[in-house]
Amino acid sequence: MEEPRVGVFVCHCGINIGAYVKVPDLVEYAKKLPNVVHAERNLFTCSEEGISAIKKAIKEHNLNRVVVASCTPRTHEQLFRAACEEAGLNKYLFEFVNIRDQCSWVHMREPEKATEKAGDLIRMGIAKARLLEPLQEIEIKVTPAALVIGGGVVGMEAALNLARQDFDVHLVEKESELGGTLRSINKLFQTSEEAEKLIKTLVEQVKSHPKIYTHLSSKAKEVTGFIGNFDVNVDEKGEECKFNVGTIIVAIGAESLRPTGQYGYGKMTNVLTQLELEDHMKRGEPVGENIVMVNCVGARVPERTYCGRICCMTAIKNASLIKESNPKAKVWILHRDLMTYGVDFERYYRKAMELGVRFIRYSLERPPEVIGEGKVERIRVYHELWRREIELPCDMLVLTTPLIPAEDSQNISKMLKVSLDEFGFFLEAHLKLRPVEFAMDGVYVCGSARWPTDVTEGVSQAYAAAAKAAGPLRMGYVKAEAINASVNEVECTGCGLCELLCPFQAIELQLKRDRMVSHVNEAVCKGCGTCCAACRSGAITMHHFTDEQILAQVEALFG
Amino acid sequence: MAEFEPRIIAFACNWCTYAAADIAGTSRIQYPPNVRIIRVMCSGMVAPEHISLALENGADGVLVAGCHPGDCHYISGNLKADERFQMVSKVVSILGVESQRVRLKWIATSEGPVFAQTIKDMVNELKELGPSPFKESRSADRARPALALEDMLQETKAYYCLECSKCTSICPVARYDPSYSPRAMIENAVLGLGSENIHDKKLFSCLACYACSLRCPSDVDYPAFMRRTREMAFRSGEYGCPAHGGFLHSVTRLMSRSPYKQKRLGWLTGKYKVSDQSDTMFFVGCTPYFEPIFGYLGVRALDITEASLKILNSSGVEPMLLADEKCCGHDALWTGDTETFQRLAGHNTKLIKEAGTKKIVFSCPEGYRTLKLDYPAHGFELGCELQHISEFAAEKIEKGELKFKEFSKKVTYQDPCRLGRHLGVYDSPRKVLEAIPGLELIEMEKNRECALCCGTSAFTNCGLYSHEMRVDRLREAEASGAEILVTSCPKCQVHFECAMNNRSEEKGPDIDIEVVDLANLVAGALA
Ligand SMILES: Cc1cc2nc3c(=O)[nH]c(=O)nc-3n(C[C@H](O)[C@H](O)[C@H](O)COP(=O)(O)OP(=O)(O)OC[C@H]3O[C@@H](n4cnc5c(N)ncnc54)[C@H](O)[C@@H]3O)c2cc1C
Ligand code: SF4
Ligand code: SF4
Ligand code: SF4
Ligand code: SF4
Repeated sequence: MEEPRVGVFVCHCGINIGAYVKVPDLVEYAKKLPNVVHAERNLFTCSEEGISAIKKAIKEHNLNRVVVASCTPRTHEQLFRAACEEAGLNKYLFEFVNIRDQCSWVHMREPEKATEKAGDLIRMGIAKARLLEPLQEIEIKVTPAALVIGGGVVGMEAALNLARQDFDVHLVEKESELGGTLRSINKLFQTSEEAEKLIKTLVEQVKSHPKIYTHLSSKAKEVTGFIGNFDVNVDEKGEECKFNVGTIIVAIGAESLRPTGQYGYGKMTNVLTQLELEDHMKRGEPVGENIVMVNCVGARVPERTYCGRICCMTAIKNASLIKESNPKAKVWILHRDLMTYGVDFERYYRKAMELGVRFIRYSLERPPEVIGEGKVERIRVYHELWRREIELPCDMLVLTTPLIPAEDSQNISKMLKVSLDEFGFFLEAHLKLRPVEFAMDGVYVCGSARWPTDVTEGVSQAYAAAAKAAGPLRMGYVKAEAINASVNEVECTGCGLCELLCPFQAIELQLKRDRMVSHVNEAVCKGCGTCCAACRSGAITMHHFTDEQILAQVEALFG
Repeated sequence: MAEFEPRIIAFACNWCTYAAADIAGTSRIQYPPNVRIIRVMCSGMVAPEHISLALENGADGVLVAGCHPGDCHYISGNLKADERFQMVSKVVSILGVESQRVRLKWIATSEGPVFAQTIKDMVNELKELGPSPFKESRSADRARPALALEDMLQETKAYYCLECSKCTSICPVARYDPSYSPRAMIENAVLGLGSENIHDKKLFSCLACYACSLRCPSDVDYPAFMRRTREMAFRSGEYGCPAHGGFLHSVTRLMSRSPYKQKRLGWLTGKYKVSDQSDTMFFVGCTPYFEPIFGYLGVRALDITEASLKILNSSGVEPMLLADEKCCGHDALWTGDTETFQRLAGHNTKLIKEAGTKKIVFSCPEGYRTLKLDYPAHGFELGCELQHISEFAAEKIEKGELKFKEFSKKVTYQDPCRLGRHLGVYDSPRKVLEAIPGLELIEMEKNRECALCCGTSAFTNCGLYSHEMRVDRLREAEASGAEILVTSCPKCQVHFECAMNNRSEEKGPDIDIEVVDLANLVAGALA
């Protein structure tokens, strides 16, 4: 490494710093520190004048490190880095020292001590600057195509959205037909629109769109690479089909839980799930005069603690449809709580009451009991509010079961290195700040794959995911963090601790010379340094925050 | 006298706490000017050694601060920071250092006032505690005299080298890492190029396993030569690539300079009989520190200590334990940090003498070697008998004082370098194992003088090659047909467990053998 030649620029920030901290003293002090070849003060370092002073000094004094002591890197680091770059200096050879927000402004009544602290901070900053190394941001070219996994309503909407923005889209569906769960649904709440109709229009649009390549009876077998360049290998009806995409949307939906023997399911002839009832009604088959529905079957129980969210609405919908076609029929919904979130849903619920659907609350401790031989005849239920048992006549018992994670969730989670939540649904990077995005760059999620959704929600998520996925495709390139981690393979023992800890799955143990060694994918690494702090062999260097740099700061403080 | 002004180092994450400190500024919240922030991208970036080094350098207080759980810019870096911090704070508390000196706090961007308050609180608490004692002792360490290369050559007689290269050909490190050559190191020094050795990270690859010097036709003591060279390196700020980020070395240095009374016997329960009157002492060693540090590997280092106490008690010995025993100094000595070694040796020698001890029993071969050979060599005479727990047990078995129940397992035995080649203790552990009815002792292909090392020593360079060595040794153990690999060194245990702890499931070495310390095995088989 060439001998560091550090230039130090101390800013007055008008009176913001200058009135509390003795800037001229700091400049004189800085001049005496090791490797400092130039120090000056500026009224406003971020002004035109200040910026050109930096550039001029870099040239005149042949500076190879620049330290600015002023406000905060959070607002001004980019600006000063750019100044360095314009003067031909790698922008990572710049170090910021915060003497305003974290010094002059918070020690306004103690100018002596504030000056002393600013001096310490400058000394620490210079100590780090001396050890800074140039870094390069890598630009990764993005293939302007996307992969959508899952051809349900949500996947189709996402694919159409991307295709309409003129990107090639590969839509991979494991079944021989598009449409997903909606293919088995009768009518949709709250509009009573026929699900089949909705699907049909969508399927037509998808099939006729020249930018969408639909792969039916297909599954993604292998996905390697990272944002911009995912190599995808699809098993299409037993044949391999390979292509490259820039971004990926996961829309594999969810499955409806099949009960295991509860309430006589599978043993008694007149017990169905809501999903089976949908089909029954679609075919126009009779449902009888007395219909009992039991909600929360297999949901909000110890082994599956979550609420299925949309299933209450499904029950209310089917109950209402029955009442509408046969007002004389009696329909009871036995529930534990009703989940009818949102303005429209609540209205829909009230309408069901108007139609004559009756709601009875039961508790988990005393679930309803089935009475009958080979066929349900009556249901005994303990009325929670009334505090007594009642019996209901029953021609058909309908079990409302929740959506559960799609069968392939685990596989896909591993293949794409994206997380699942505690129940096995896909988990986005941040609930509030980064919905539909995975921590893994370039991969997005929408629809019931994330969490049980109804069509409206699912479609809005499809739009969001498509918008996110289109971003990098339109840009044509992505920039990876220059401040990243790298592995010294000789020092690595291949313990895999780093691979386990990296929140972004940027690390993979790879087989080299017969041994597993860690490898950081610099396109994926975000530079959090978690791996580096964890590596017990000192094999990882966290650039721009190396152990040496941190230690230099510590040592500089205590001299 | 001016009022004591504590100096605090705060490792603040860029996204939350650093921002909160800025917000305190924007809102002009005034707080004492005692904190110096070191900006890090994520609190997960803060390694244990950063905290201990800050203490070593004289920080009166250290604050690690990041985003609240769930808000981490990097998803979960702060949770990792928390785990690590818990480990560090356990170690700090065993050292006896006041808990107020190291703190972890979650401070969100919007919480400028919380940041200011945290600093105010810390300053007040630290003022009450007074200055960190490590500040003073640090400056003394700075003035170390340099070592002359020529003196070192005279002392170790390295110039007798015949350039036969027997050392390099027997050296286990050289077998895995072709760029490492003890012969070349010696040659460099003899040719007056010793300073190259000093800046060569490979200097710290040597295991001091003594395989080479046992073979050298010219009696060159390579480990001694290497140790002196490391001493020179240490004085010019070279440490090789210390394992565990140098945290263990840093803790040892802190311990050596610490006026605090340690809290190292917190694990001791009424289950074991100990006595302050006893003339037999048990040297606990570093296991109380290893316990939190290596917990992540699932190693319970204190099990070995407890098992040793059980063996002692069963033989009718109620040993004395020193409440403020310090590290024996082995690692300091072998990494060239002689000052730290001397301080530790001085401390322990004084305590041992004051206690009127006649005999010291060790479960750790390193402590045994160090007190037996290195203390006297540096002028610390203990004047008492020293024994490894295996020697102790062998003696008791001979006298019929230890009885065992049936234990039908096939085991093989790893000779730790310090116990074997350094001290020549090969037979006692084997005698002890063979005394257990049903137990079948199988030797590995390389045993006794030829035993392969566990791959690292003194927690220096522990990389790919150490791992390969370790895995090969474990494979050898497995191939012997043994179900258990018995070792009698807590560090062997740690290193082997580390190799087998294949975190990346499908990818790790598929070795399936149990590694058990001799003391544990013996204690478990006691009738
Ligand atoms: C009984 C019932 C009634 C409902 N009633 C209504 C209603 O009235 N109104 C309403 O708004 N919502 C209703 N819903 C919810 C609705 O079904 C969902 O909102 C919708 O299906 C979500 O769409 P999706 O595309 O996310 O998932 P899905 O419809 O589940 O589609 C996922 C698709 O991905 C495919 N797939 C799965 N794994 C793979 C793989 N590995 N590779 C390739 N493809 C794969 C599947 O085959 C499927 O085609 C109901 C749900 C149920 C169970
Ligand atoms: S933590 Fe360190 S030693 Fe372990 S695999 Fe990662 S880089 Fe290698
Ligand atoms: S720095 Fe963070 S993101 Fe990068 S590889 Fe390490 S743990 Fe992963
Ligand atoms: S074995 Fe001895 S004599 Fe031979 S090269 Fe090594 S040090 Fe020199
Ligand atoms: S002591 Fe052991 S590791 Fe060191 S050089 Fe000699 S043989 Fe190699």
